[in-house]
Amino acid sequence: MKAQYGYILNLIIGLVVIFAVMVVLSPVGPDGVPLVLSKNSLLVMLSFCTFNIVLGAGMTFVILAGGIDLSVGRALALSNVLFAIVLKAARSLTIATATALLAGAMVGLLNGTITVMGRIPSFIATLGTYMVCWGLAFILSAGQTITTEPGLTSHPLVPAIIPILAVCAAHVLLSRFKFGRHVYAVGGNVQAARLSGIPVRRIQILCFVICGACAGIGGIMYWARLAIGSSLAGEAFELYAIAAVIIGGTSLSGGEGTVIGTFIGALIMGVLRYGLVILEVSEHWQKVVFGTVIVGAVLFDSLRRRRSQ
Amino acid sequence: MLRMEKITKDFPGVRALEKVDFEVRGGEIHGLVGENGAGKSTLMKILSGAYRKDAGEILIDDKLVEIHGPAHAISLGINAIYQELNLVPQLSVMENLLLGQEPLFALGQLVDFRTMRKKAREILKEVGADFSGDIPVRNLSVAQRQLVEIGKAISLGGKILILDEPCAALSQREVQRLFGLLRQMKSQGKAVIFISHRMDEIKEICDLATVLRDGRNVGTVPVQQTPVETIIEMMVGRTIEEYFPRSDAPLGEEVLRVENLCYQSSVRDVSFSLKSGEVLGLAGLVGAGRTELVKCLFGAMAKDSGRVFMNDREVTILSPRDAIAAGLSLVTEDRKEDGLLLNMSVDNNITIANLFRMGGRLLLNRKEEKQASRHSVKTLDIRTPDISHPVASLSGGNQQKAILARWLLTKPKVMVLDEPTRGIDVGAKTEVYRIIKNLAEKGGAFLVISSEFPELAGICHRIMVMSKGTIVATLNREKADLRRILALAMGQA
Repeated sequence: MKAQYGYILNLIIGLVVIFAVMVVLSPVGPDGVPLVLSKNSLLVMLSFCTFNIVLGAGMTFVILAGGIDLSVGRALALSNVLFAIVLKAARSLTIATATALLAGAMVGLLNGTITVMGRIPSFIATLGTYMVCWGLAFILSAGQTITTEPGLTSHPLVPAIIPILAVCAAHVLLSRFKFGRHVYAVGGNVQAARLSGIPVRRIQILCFVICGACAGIGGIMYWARLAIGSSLAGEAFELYAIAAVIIGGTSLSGGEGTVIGTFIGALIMGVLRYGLVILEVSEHWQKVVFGTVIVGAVLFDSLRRRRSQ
Repeated sequence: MLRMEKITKDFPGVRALEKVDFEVRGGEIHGLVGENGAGKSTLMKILSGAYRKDAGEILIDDKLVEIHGPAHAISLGINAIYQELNLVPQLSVMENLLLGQEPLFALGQLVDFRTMRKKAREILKEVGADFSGDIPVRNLSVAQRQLVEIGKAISLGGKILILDEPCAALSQREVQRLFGLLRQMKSQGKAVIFISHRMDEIKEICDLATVLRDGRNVGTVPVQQTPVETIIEMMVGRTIEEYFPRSDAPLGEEVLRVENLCYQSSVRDVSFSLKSGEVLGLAGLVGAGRTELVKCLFGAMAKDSGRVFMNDREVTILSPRDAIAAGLSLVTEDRKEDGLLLNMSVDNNITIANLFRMGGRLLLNRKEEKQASRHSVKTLDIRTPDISHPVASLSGGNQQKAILARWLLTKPKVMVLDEPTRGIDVGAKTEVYRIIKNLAEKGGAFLVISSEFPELAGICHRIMVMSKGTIVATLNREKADLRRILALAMGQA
């Protein structure tokens, strides 16, 4: 546990350094403020972060328990489409919200059940549901973008509240609840956890359900931002979420990591991504930088661990 | 033939060997015995070139040699078979047998498979293997792989052969076959060094035995003239009575009764009972069904049939969870594999099986947890800098005590211990025995599985002997002599 706090400190330093470099390199706007610090670019950065934080928080559970969930991006699209359809038909935000959340959670339940009961690697199971959700989202929306009445008009910082709530809830769940301890135990050593009387399967399935529900929340957030339902929503979000979790110091083999780490990991990715946009780095070079950062962070962590042993 | 003088080897933080002298003559089978961590394997790895010595001299045929690496050792005629096997699973048996010495043709560029097959067949026949040289090694059982290793070492034709625990995975028939081969090598004037912690094997095959303790040579004795007890006392450095504290308190009521338990072909119709205050041993060879029996009892494997009674009331155990609730505990054989949560701290490891009783329905109570852990650490003397320290950094003995603490916290009526002292040092072993004794005196009941029969004879009230899935005998402590247990375990009595 203590080692993890050390890693989080490193992450925060990394975040500050990256941000500072961006500010220094950033072209200066007409009002004399570096473009990176302008209100607009900060908001864009934030909005990318919000999705990544919410999906990453859910993903943290699955990865901690020793699995992986590739379906979240498409589950987000499916619940986003369902949300828009239900909103149009029922004209009720509550029903639409409940539908979207339920859809996400059901995808998670499916992932968990297939993985745990079918004893199939979660990589394969969720790759399957990824396709299924993609297809369903397309069928349900008939390949069209469903436009609804404008979303919630509110202060632009409101969307920031959801991710923060999600992270806080996830953190409390992982550190104060028996469930959380069980997640770490299952991810650390399934056999030992089972012999200690922990309901291993239930814990594993619940992790997938939480992850799916977070994708459902993501679907709602997507609508809240653009007032549309689209099967194209959430493209590649699963990869970003996994990257945030990994940069955040969670071990891909499970049992080690924190959701706080994921939170900062997601912030680092957001800053990096939109920093590079503002610095007018081409989209393709951005990908190169991204890939390097992900591997670099894991490599750094692996070296650190080896040295401490 | 071989003389090692004043061999010293340091590992970070420990001196593994301290000026060890060791001598083996040709035409001799020399046993090397000692507790885990006594330095047996280290000494042999220095000889076979896997480790470099820090000080000392090695003489082969009175010539001073400096061994640079495994290949060099083989060229000097030293072949070693380690506990961990060194085969390439994807390659076939014959390719493994002749790895690095393949018969070649066409200017030495192509492998001559026909000759290879023929040679392999000869080697396999010699070691008594009943499988073909063409099948890939990954399809073989552990015992069969062991035979391939032995065949490989023999085919190299060296003059010194080192075997590190070669019989652990072998059946009795295969062991006899191996011993036959070793005797043959002996008659050819070769030197065999035989590492084992099984006294019966040492007794049967060795001429001399050298005892190591804590990295020192404590003496070399002629095996036939020396009683087993003396060798064990040399190994542990104290008398048997001091080494095996055992409870003499009177026994109480029956707490556990198992009737007609069956599991596939490995547990056949097993019944027994256990009283409070009793330490019941379960002896048997590897593969006798002991681990399966206790895993079924604990709900970790689904038994086919059988009934379990606690305090004369039948209990249904379908999962480890049920077992814990019924008052059973299981300390498994393999600490790292299915005991420890290596990603967690000492205190989290201690409380994990008892969380369902601590705190609220959903929430943890960290204060209560810490209190309980601190108490356990104190009473069992678990040496850790702090209870929030990672459990992975503790020594084997302290890790084992942490697992004992985990199960004691669940307040079990019956504790099942599967190989509770495997891989821990001598001092920690005695501490584990003492913990068992103290708890038994307070009315705890124990079922102890062990492959080390002296250990069972030392601490148990009664010993059940299991062979091929059935309990073949139950001996009282007075009648539990090692030869008899062994004969029963091997199905010979």
